[in-house]
Amino acid sequence: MSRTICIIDDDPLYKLLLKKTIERLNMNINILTFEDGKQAIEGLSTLNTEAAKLPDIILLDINMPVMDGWEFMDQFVEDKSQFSKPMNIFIASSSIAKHDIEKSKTYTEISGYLVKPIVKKTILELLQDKVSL
Amino acid sequence: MHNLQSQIENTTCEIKYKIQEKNIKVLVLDEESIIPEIKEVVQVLHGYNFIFYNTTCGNEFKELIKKNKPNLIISELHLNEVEGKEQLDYCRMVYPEIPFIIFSSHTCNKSALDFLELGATDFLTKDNSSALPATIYKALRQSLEKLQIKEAKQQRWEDAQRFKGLIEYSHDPVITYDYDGTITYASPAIERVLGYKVEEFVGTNVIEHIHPDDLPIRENAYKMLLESEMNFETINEERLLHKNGHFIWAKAVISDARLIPGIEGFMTNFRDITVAKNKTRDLNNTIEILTSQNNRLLNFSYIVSHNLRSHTSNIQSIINYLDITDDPKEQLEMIQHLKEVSEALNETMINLNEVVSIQSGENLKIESLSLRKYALISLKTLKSKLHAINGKVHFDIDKNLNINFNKSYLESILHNLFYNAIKYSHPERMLNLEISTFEEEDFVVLKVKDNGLGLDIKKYKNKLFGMYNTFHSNKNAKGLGLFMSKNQIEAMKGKIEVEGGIDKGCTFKIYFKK
Repeated sequence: MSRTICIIDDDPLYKLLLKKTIERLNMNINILTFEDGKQAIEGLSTLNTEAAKLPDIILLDINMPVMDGWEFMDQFVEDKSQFSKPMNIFIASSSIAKHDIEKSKTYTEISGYLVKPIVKKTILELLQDKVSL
Repeated sequence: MHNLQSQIENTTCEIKYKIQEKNIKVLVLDEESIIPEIKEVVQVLHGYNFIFYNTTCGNEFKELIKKNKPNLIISELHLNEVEGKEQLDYCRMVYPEIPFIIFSSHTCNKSALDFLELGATDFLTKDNSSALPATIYKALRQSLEKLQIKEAKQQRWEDAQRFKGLIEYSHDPVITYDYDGTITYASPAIERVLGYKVEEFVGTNVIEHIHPDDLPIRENAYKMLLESEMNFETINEERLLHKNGHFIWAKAVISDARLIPGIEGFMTNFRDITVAKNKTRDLNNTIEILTSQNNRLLNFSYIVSHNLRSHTSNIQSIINYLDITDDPKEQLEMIQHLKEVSEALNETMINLNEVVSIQSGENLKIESLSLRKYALISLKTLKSKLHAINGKVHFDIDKNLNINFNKSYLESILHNLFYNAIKYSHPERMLNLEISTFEEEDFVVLKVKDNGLGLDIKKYKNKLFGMYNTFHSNKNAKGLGLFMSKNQIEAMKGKIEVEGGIDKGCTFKIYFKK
């Protein structure tokens, strides 16, 4: 069964490297990317018609233009009942600020907080459901 | 007042008590032979112990009064060597409170009246000696009444003097005024606090001396005073106009004295609190500066946490990847990425350095700059960009309007504002940029209004001026311009405000401190 990881981030280099890292795992993983929160909300809503295409895991950045990670979460909380599939959302930020980590805990929909860079080991753990807050 | 009244009312019952308590000293200006006769008749006044002194000599008479302080004087009219009239004059003048009864062997009605007019307490003829006790009693009672009234008056006068002194020498001014605000009294301290001589101040109206903006506080205080049970109301701070034209800060207590005799109006005492107020203001300014510095520091730590960290995490990623790949092509690609990250990191460092230099920019050169001139120069540099989108500019800045500012900051701020308006113009309508100025309190305000994409200001107000925050999907946006402008403006003690909405354009207001 193929699985889908969704990367919501505005940093092209980060996305490129993460993609490469995931692809090297050879685990038949689909990768979905969005530039910012707004594009992600819109994209996910479109995919909603085919539940299979919705991601299993979302890696969400905090600092993004137009709609940042927190704003995405607020919108997602509002819309989540519409989604036909449960999705595990992880914050993936370079920020090690306590403020950000604490804030992520205020959302029950967020499964964990990952500090960039995201390494191979972390992805494997994610896929085995071993990562939690 | 009341005290005096009751003292007089109680006189009758007190008098007996008082007279009984001490011996009644009677100075007789007559032959010694008369004393037994008087003694005889006054026996009817039970319980009183009369002590008699007598003389027929004028000088001795005066000495005896001085020495014995008699309670009563009984005098013959004409003696061999001395005239009773002379002694009466003397007594009325020096000892008016001692009753002086004429007890005469002569029955001359004319002179009796003369003596009464001169101030004798009573006039009796010796053949009417049976009336003497009643006359004595009456005279003693009147004397006591007089003394008590005198004492009460003395007391009242002393009280009044004491209270007057308290007010006159008080460090803080006291004023009284009528219902319409006309000042009826001001204590001398008014000159120290407001610069007016008392006579200049009395007759003016209270309202003339209060800052117009603080009048509502006063009105409210009067309302409270009239409505509440309390007789006074405190105004914690208000501005009062000094004679020299400047305002002082005062704390005032207004008392309702409409029912107080002698005032029949309001009374206010106030204290000059300017020094304390200024200290508080300085303290608040310090707190404001510290808070803003603290916010900048937090902002800075946020920038470091997010923006510097994002580069370092990318470097980590690249190195990790270099570790696991053997493909020379991929290795080369990674090196290329490393170069990019290195450049981006460098740029962030340069930006941060700029921010830090603004925030510690205390030695900036400040000059008087023509706002119109620099705005025009800035628009000129953007001419081709404006032209490309068919933008229109309505420009209204007075050529005589100068501001005190740092030149390169002003250039940077104006460029940012105008360039933002061009960058975020609406694709479906031509840019209409309105540039104008107005004055507000201590500021010259530059207003820059566009009809561009706008922004959800309510939502983004806090982020709008933050570092590296971008709002539109504009690839060239770095999220630096407004952040830098805000810091530059604040370093010059000004402020920047923004209004607008999605699709409604933005209006920026830059407040330049005069």
